[in-house]
Amino acid sequence: MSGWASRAFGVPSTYIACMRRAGGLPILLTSPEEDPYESLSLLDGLLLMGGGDVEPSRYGGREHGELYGIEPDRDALEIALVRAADRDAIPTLAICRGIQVLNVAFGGSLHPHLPEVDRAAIHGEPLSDDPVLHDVKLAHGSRVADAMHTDLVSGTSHHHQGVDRLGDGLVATGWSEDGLIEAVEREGGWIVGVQWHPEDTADRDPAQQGLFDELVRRSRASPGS
Amino acid sequence: MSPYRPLIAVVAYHLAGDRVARWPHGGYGVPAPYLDCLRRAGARTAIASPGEQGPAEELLEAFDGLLLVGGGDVDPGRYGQQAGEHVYGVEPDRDAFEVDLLLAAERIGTPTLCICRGMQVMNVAFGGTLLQHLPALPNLLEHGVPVADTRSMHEVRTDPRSRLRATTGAESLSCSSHHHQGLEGIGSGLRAAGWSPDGLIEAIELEHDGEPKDRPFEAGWMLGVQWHPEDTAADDPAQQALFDALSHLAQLRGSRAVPGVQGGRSRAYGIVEYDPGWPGMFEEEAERIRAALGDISVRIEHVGSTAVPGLPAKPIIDIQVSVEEMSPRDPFVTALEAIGYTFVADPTDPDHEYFKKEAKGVRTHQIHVCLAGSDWERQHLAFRDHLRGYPEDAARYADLKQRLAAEHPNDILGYIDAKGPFIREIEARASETPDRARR
Repeated sequence: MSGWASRAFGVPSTYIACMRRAGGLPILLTSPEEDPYESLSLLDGLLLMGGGDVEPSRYGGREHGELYGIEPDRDALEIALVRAADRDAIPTLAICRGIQVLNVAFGGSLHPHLPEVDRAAIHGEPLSDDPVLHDVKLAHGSRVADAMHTDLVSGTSHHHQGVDRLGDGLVATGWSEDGLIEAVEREGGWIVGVQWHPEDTADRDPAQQGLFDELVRRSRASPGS
Repeated sequence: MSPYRPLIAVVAYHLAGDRVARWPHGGYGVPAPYLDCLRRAGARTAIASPGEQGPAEELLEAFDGLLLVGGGDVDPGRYGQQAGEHVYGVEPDRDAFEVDLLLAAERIGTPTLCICRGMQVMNVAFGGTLLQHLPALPNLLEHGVPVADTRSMHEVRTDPRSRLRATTGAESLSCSSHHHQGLEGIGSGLRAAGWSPDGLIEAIELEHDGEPKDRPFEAGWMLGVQWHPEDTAADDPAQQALFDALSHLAQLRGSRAVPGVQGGRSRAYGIVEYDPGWPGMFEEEAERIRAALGDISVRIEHVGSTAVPGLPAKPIIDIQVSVEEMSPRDPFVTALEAIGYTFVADPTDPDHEYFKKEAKGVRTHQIHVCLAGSDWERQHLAFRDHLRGYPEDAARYADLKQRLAAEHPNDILGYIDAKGPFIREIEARASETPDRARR
């Protein structure tokens, strides 16, 4: 972040553009937040976006030399928010870091560094400008496949961690060719996580925009609205 | 249960594609110190981004307060000028979004604080003009340089009659400043509230003198400051007081919300027929207050609609207590708290503080402590006395109240604003006509 002497909070414009195309009015919550449950009361839907790694102690993981960008109070906020969203049936879309937070929130674990995982394909590098485009096979009839109106999507990817053991009540619904979990959803309600970045290509790929459209459509009918 | 924490909307800057690594399309952001100050004041925050197309009022209804922060220059076209060579960082969609929000905040009574660029936007929103580049003008102090990580400290003198003074309690504030533009012509309905030693306008607020004080007092608090209170608020209570006041007023607005009622945020009220028991309730309570305050109170009066025979009213007894000195306030705060009142500071008027008393969650009495001899005291007494002395006007007012209550069943501000012209008419006549009621 250049130009400001202090810390700052921000959101990439691509997420905002996707939410607006879908008819949503996105607002950004920031950490620390002493009572995240209260914050959810004003929202009809929840979007968790990309970012650095989840603190490994949250999933019984260990320190790793490749970990980066850990924000403990953001972990705390997002984990509390996604649990509250589940409790209150608030539709939720969790992207990249978001799917990892979602998995950890329900007791799952993460691969700390994918390049060390056997047979893992290239999934990009978090801080590079060159996203990798790869295919993801979706489970037919899953929430993610229904929202995207297809069982095979091409998504941009720049992450170095991934879902390992699934959290309670989470079901894997998407996989890359190397077998890594690329999409999960929670039983009941509409809580969907995707490992790739739909916001990168949603302006030209209706399947990717479909995820945001479905989030907003579900949010219109959610208890908060 | 912990008290309701108000939710403040903060409007973000655009971040260009070169500002943040790996955000090639840019984004929206807010420097953390603004949010830190609001958190310190007990508020929750949420960031809204420029470019929203929906109605500003609808967006704002979801929030209890509004904060506009620093940034680049307002498009000079908005105040009828061509951009000079020093104009920088114009964000047209942010200008549009913030202007719409401010006008909506004024209409629906959202407490609002505008900082630096925010103050300039506020002025332009109400038709004011800006000085495009201060360093080009003679005889001005150093006001700092935008963007660069430098700041100039200078004093700001506050108008004793201003909400800025009521909010900060300070005659002079020590202010951190980095801006290259300033206010020229003040927007309509705004007034200057503070000046740097070189005479530059450093603070503006919505005009309030001469207005009937019948809106809830949190509804008219819109304050703009040219300096950066967030720079020094951690160590300077007078600067933090700006955020505390925003949070406090937003809390008042938000805690009266009616969940699930569209447009009903802080808008529920009920009007009942005149109750002949009201004067007796006042007398009884006045005795209790007199005993508690002793010499502190110089005058205790029954005011408001329950003080005028025949008027329908919200069934809350309004009591005006005049004191010789508003500060320090501890003596009357302590005494009134001891007899069951809750103190609600009024950072909108240096001559007024407010107390409420509830029984089983329903407000029964409210006390307006005001300065003896102040406009506040005079206005409320004159209005009451006129209606007592001219029953034909009281009857007209009764009819109007009942009609408006039916027209605005869930919108107390709509109801109050619609009464405004009648109240102003009565106030004007009260100052001209003989006072039949005065003993």
